[in-house]
Amino acid sequence: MTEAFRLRGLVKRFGAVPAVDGVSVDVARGEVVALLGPNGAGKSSTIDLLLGLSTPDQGEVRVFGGTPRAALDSGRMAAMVQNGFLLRDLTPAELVRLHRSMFRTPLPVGEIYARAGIGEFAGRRCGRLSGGQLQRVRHAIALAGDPELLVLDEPTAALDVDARRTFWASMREFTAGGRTVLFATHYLAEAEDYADRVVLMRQGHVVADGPVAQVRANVTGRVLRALVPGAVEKDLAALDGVASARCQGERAELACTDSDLTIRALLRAFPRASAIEITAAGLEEAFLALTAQQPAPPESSEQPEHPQPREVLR
Amino acid sequence: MNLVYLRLEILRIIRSPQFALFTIVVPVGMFLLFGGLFGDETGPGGLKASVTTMINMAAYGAMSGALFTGTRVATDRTDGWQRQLRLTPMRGPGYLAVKIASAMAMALPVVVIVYLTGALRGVQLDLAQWLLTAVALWLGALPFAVLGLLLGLFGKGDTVGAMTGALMLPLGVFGGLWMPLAFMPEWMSDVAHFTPTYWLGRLGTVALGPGGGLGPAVGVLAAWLVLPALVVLRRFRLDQGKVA
Repeated sequence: MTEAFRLRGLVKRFGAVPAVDGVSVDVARGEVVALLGPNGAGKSSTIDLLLGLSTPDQGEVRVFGGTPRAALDSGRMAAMVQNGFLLRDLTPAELVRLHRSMFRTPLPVGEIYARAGIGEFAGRRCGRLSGGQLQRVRHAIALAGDPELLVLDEPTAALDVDARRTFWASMREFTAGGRTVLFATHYLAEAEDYADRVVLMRQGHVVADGPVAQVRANVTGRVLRALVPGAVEKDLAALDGVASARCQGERAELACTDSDLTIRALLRAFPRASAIEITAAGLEEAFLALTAQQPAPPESSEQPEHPQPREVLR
Repeated sequence: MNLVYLRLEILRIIRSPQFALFTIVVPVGMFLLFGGLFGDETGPGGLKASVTTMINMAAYGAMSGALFTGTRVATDRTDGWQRQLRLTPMRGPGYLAVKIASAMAMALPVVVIVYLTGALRGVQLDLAQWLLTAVALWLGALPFAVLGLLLGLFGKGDTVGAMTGALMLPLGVFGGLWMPLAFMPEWMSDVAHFTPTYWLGRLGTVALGPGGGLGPAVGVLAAWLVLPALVVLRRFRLDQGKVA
């Protein structure tokens, strides 16, 4: 397997809070990998490290065997970052021309236009384009150096359903030639539909990594509901096989990674527990179980990630 | 230098003409006003006031044209364009070089337009004098381009414009561009000798005879070029480390 990039033991702190806490991921050429996780999981920080926009406090980043800077310079790695700014007074055609001018073997203009779908409005100033059109322009710019690896941070956040479908269709075309894509998303469906592999992050850690089907199998958790007199969330969350716990009075709801372990542990610790009910969780709930926030540390653990629509995970 | 980028930077300036308008309209207007009022008098050094006014206003225009590059650097930073550029092979020095070149590209037409206005209003110089003074004023704008970068690196997008304007007024007054030093109290004309604007005006008149030697003007302007340039180079690197 030929390697596209390798992240080893990455740690990045903002103040005392680690935004990225020991992330190791190897990606081979030709893989399409989703970096999945809720807001604040460390996805954007991980991507900044991969792109060399920030330097890790610990660990190592190698892209095509070299530094991120070398990969960007040669055009082998390109990225679409969130809200990457485009000069309003210039047209997509001019921006594409500028970016092509920086590479020794740029992709032909016609191919860039066709792949990113900007031909119709390439001559209009960016200030007059819609959000979806601007995202296509960012895509076009990222293609200028004919990259082998594309890194996308929440690429479809600003797009409507149609634009999203078109975007992924063009990504499929891009990867059909054996090229590599890493994209960050908090849309579970997007990861399922378009990625070969899912890297699931929570609070700066990788909590699952593998082919979509495998991650799904590993995480098909169950939900255990019971009346547990005198229980507090912290104790319940500490039980074997529990990913996260919620309490409302006596009513407890435990998201389990192994409900068999949990029910034994629950009855040992709380013999008065009653009305116990175990149900299988869907993938959505499994995702929530794996990425659920643990009780927040005293200081806010919110790291400066970009604001996202929250309802997606609700 | 990336000439494609330079061309686009100049296009950006032309497409949002408010700065160009300001930097051209003010000096031309002032030349018409002052030149009309005192034009026929002969000032110190035996130059007609219309000539010195034209040169001073061209100097003022070249300065403001060059300084305003700072506002664009600041908006580039706050809007995330610098972050976007960090994903490309372009490096800090290449970026700064384009910014300085575009500032100089702004300064040139201002000098030309003030001079055209002067010619239309009857200012008479021989061809060599026209060309030499214009080139001197244009090259003399280089320190102001670097000063503009400096402002742009420290200020935020919306405040740099105001900062630039606030800086231009005292530079113009103390530099003797608005009125001759002879009319100022002594302390003011002492201060004037440390301003880059005063020496820019002097540089403009060297080719006409009474400006004195080229040496002091070039020396002071070079100092105003090198010191801010050192800060810019240092600061820009820091700035890059801080992003993200």
